[in-house]
Amino acid sequence: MSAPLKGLRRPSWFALLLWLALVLALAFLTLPVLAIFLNTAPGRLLDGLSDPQALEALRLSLETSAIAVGAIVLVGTPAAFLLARRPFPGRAAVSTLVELPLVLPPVVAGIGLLEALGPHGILGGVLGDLQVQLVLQTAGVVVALTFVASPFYLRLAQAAFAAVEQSHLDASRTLGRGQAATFLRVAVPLAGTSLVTGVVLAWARALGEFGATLMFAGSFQGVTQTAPLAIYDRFAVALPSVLALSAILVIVSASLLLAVKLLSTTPLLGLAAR
Amino acid sequence: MLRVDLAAAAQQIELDIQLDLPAGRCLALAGPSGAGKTTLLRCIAGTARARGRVVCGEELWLDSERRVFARPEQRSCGFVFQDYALFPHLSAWRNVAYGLHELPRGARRARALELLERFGMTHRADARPETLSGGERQRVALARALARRPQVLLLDEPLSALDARTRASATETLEQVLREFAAPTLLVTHDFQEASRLGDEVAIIEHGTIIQRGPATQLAQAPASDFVAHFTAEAIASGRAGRQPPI
Repeated sequence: MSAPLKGLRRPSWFALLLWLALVLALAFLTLPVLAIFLNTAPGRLLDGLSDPQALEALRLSLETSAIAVGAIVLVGTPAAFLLARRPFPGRAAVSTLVELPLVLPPVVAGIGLLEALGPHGILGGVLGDLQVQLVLQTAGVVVALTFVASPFYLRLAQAAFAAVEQSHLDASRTLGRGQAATFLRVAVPLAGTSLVTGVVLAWARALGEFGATLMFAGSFQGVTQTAPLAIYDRFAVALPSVLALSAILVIVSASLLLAVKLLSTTPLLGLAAR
Repeated sequence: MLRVDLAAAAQQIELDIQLDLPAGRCLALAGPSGAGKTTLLRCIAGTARARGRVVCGEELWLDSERRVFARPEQRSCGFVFQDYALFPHLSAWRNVAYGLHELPRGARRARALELLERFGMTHRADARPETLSGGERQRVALARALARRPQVLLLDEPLSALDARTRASATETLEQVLREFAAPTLLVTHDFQEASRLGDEVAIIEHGTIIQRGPATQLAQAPASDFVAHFTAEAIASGRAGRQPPI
């Protein structure tokens, strides 16, 4: 009986290859992240945070991304429900179009936003008449973040709504609830886990946004300079504060990733159970 | 009284169905898969669109000629779905209370518990559907469907998701509900025993139309199609053709 087992004791060359590939990938993907923390003493990281410019950029990043995510959820949730549940002509095309920012280079997205919403853009005249200025303004940052982060939420929300059983929606209607109540009380809670995952992914994308924001809103301290822009701006002059800001972005992003992982292992959050 | 006259393509199934059903009577619907049984229930409930006319008591629910279409929430239908469709994010009592939104907030729980008690389910009131057994789910689904005192009860294969042992007691529960329920009931089933035991009459639907309707024994004695013959054959072989006396 030992003869056939003998071969199993030694790992095959293929298994070794798999392990080698994983170790290489792991080292390559984690080393730069670890380096941010390893190359700087914790004390210096904290000192870097006392830099007012860094703190201001961080505050702006958190504020604009929160507003952007709020707008995405408010408009994206019903839009995704429509895309997922109501057949209409051209639905597949619409579905693809709203995912376009996902593959668009961020810099190109910034140019597109300028051409659409800038002073000389397609809607520039209308916005001017309404006294709305976006370019080089904090509101412009929100617009840029919303643009690039939306598809992350829309994609997940659409898939989640598509997975809701029709019989659950029908049951709600036969129990006397209208379409809006059915959407809020049945569809949204049943899609809950994926919707929260979508929020987290969209928020992470918005926090890291650089190209579109720079092109559309510029990089003005206290007005449009978000954390990634501040990192780029101060890279040559204030490395400690750059490292501190980077470390915070890593911590926030890692927490978001962890949250997604935890959520995806919890099948039902019971958001509407109460 | 429920009056249904549907002649329409609804979800790729051609329907051509006329039926009248007095209050307190249960009509069991049987037929091959895809014949239009569930579609008929959905057209009556308003969750599927159809051309034709549906009248329940004094209320006009559908009249496509006069462009009348009452939305599902405006029709008073108690619907028990094949998989029960209990809301997984709500406890048993909240599932029952879901349809009681017209009651004051404070009265909903008491009414829901009252209904659950009727089905012997008070002890499971706080349980989520995923933790309930098949039979328990059926009872919660029945309690939920009856909560709004519907004018019509629509049961879509309410016993098919149950194993043989649970099915016996679930059938008893259903029988009791149907005895007490004063409105018309439509029951879709694949089982002749079930049809003859629970239905006052049995109607066979094939290709979207009723090809035979009558007491179970009559169907068994003079089947109008091969399907009816097969459907009733097993029961005849076992000598149990239902509660209807032979005509």
